Amino acid sequence: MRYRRGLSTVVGAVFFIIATTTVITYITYSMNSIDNFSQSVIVSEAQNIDRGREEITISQTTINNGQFNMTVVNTGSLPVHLTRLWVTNQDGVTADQKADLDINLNPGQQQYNIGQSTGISAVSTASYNLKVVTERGNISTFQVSPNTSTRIQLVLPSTVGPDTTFRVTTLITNNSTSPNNIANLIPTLTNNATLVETSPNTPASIATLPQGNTVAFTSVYTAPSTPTVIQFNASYANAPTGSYVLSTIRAETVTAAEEASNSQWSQAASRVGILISGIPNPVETSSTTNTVRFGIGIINPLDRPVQIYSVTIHMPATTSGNYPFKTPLGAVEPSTPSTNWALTADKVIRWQSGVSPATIPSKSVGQFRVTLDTPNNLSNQEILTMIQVLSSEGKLSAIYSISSKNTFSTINVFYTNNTASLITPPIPNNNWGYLYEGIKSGTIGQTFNATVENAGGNTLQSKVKLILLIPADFKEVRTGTALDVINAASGWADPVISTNPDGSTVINVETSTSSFGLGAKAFRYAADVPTVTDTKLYVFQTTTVYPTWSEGNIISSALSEAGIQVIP
Amino acid sequence: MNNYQLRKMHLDKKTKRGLSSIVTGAILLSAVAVMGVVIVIWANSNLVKHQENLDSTVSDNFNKINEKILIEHVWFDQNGPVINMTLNNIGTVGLNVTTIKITDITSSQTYSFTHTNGGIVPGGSISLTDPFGWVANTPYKILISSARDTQFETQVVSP
Repeated sequence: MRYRRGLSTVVGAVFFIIATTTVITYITYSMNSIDNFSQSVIVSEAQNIDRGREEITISQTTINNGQFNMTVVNTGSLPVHLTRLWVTNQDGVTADQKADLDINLNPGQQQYNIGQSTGISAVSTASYNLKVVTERGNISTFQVSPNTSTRIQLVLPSTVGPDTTFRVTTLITNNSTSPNNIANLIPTLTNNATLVETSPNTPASIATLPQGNTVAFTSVYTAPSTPTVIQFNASYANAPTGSYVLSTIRAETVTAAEEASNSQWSQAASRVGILISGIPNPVETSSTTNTVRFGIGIINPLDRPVQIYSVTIHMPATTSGNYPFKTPLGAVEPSTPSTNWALTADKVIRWQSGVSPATIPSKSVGQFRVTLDTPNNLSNQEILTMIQVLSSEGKLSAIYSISSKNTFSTINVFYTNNTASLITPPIPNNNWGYLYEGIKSGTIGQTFNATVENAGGNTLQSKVKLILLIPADFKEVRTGTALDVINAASGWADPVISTNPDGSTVINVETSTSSFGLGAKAFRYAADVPTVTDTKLYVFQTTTVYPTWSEGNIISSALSEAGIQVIP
Repeated sequence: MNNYQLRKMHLDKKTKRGLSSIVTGAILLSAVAVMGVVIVIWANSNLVKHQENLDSTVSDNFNKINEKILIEHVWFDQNGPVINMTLNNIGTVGLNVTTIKITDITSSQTYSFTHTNGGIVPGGSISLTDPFGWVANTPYKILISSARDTQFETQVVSP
């Protein structure tokens, strides 16, 4: 019995050992598998972390010997192995190209001349996207293109004296918002005059203009001997369409450019005031009908309307007791009320509103025009003329003097829209005035016709010189080829355009013949209208000078101040 | 009855009881042994199956974790309706690219391309070309699937 009990124990023990061994083996195997898996997760995670810590930068790229020359910097904290370079021609001219690389970079290390001897050709006129791939799977891209956002500036003096040398500096900034180089940047600088280039662009070119950098190129020129306006055009080779800048320089004596710099109207108008919109001077007092055109402009740059109750032109009696003007020939503007422009019993030319005042809307100019005639044989004298306006903003006044004599001429100055209608007098009322309304903001080459008229019976024995003052906000004041045709046909000599220190522009132009007969001559010029976000008013001032007039008073001068309304 | 007879009678009685016990014991032992063997075999087989499953799962996941593709470069052929891409195996195991799906993000239209020769060794790369009528200046989503069903995605815009 003792032997039998021992046998069952042995059998049970065998089973126990088998079961235990199997379970332990399974558990051990499972644990091993899980451990291996955990290790692989850890390794994979470590690789991902390494990939995140890897960082390379293509610091610059140029094109040398028809191939790319890149500098790559390892900006990360791990060694990097560069394996591939991809080049995409963004113009689609050639297919994408690649080159195998085998470059190791330690942290902080940079490698030059990558791309040389790869066989991938490059030209500076094309746009390329470069891509460098690392062994861990990171990619760094870079662009080489002349077709990128740039800012070009021209630095040059506004006025230079004849035969003096001056510098023209072109500043080109790479404004690209992504890593992008302009390779082999060659500046271009042209002008519309025949200038002696004392020193060409220095430097002539640069190998590369990295993103955010600015380069300056300077040329030296000698100004011409004769007064002229020179326009420069700066750009660079293979620049995108529209990437250029224009700027003008005036070659002339500086004193001439300063003539009208103190004018109150050289900038945008800022207060309510009387514009002496049209004051004739001199006036002829012969028996012939003399069409004397008067204009009074009330400028309202305020944000509220201005009411006008009355406008008067007051001229005292001459020494012989005669008043200088007769009943108006035509009450031009405003046409209402019916009691408008009239010669009153107290010898004042007056427009009055009655119960309904005229309203000048916000940021506009009210125009009051009247044509008068003069009596015969007034003595030679300066007639003190006072213009008064009663408005909702108060009483405004301006004083002027007018030269009168029966042998004088009647000279009016105003602006016209249609130069063709000047050929056949009389000039219609809708084609003479002192107001340009609704000019669109930013208009390029807006034309203006400054017109001078002899509206009496006598020829003026002098040239007529116009001095036009254009506010600083109006740029690129010019006459141009097409405009010159009209001006030459009208009998104007070449104008001299000067820039004042405050940026305003003065045009000096005179008639080409020594006398000014009956009729009108329009001088046409153009300017680029400023960009405004709100309606803005400007005043263009025109003054006449009769430089060779021996008979009359040299102080005599017709005057026009035209209101210019620029709308957004 | 003498002493001899008494001893013999006692011996005969003892011998008959031991035989039945042996038989019973043998039967029980055999039954237990058989049952034990069956249970051990069954348990062993179960464990082997579990072990195989575990092996397979661990292996799959291990490979999936270590399977990584860098979509290094995608470019559209300017001369025809073809898309090219270069894939780089940056993982630690070999992989096989089986499917490339291109989805026009604008129209949500999907194009699928199957590859049978898309094997890439670790550290190696492969360039694949598919006939694809791409439209200029259109964003596309590219989804690459491996034989282990790992997926990699990128987006490109056609020139």
